Amino acid sequence: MLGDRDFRFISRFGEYIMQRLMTFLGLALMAIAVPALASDSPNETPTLKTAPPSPPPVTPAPVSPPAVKPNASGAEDAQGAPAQPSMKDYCREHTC
Amino acid sequence: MRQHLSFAFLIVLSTLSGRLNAANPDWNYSNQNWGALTGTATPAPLNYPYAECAIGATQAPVDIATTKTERILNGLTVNWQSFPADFYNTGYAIQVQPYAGDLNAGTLKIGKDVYPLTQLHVHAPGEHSVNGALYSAEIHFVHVRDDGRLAVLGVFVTLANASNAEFQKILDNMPNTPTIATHNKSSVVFNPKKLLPPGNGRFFTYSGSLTTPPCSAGVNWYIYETPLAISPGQLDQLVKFYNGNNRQIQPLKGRTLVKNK
Repeated sequence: MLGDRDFRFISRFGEYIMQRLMTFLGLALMAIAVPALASDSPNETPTLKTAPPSPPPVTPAPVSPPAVKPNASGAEDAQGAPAQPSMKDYCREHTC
Repeated sequence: MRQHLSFAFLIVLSTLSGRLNAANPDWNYSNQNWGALTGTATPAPLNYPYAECAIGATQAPVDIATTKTERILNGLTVNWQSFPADFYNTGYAIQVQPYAGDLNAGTLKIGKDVYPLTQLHVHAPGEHSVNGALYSAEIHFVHVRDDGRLAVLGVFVTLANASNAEFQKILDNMPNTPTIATHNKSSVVFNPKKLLPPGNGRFFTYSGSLTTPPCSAGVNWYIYETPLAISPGQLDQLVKFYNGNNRQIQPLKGRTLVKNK
């Protein structure tokens, strides 16, 4: 049987857990919201950034040197490579 | 409570300071620990835009030493053609490409697969080594298909008494400083075929990556065994643009280079 003392302990423990949970959620919200607000800032001038734009990914690496065996290209096509139309533009603007 | 406030302040501070940095970090050849560079395009711990440079399993360039010689049925057919050129100093290399993206510079045919020539650029010294030794320079002919597949044809450059007239066009027309924002068409017609080396068409092939950040994998490499010759004077001119824009040799990690018979 649980006594009053036990209930008081459980109640205080629950209160403590809730307090920690709320603190964690608050911090998590702040971590998400602050970068979003910062990126919406009208003072930011993206044209002044000197860094290269985010580079697009290329097709995942084939397992073996491709197109060297008679059946290699067919096997790769069957895997279904995603279309990356921007790679050509990326390589025109960067030493890729 | 004070401890929590300090922690929150730390998060806010690090987030804001991150915003001050560029989304993707600049990189250079003097410190090639590119995988450790952090950006802010994605939150931590995913803010390493060039992570593949450090952890990729199929990185380039590599040392060409032990090779497996095979009869490669899907040979290379170079169908490049002349184009009005855009001589582009990218800040990392000197690069030549058709001045408009819709212009045709010809193709590289690998078996049945056709890869349009998108650009060519030069590294000095060369990037791939042969038995540990680097050539004076290396030209990369980058071919990109609409589906994003890449094939790069590498041509080693060595020194001889005779100069190469087409290579001289690059040196004479290239802007001395990076022209990232302003590069544009020239009236010079460039013939990439004149940069093909003589020889029997022997090449090495392997599956690699871009040799510049983000070091993306999925690049099909073909490297001619015979080098192209330029004169010492041309090399002197070349290294005035960039000297040392070569990535360090990367481990093969189980890959085998194939040489055609």
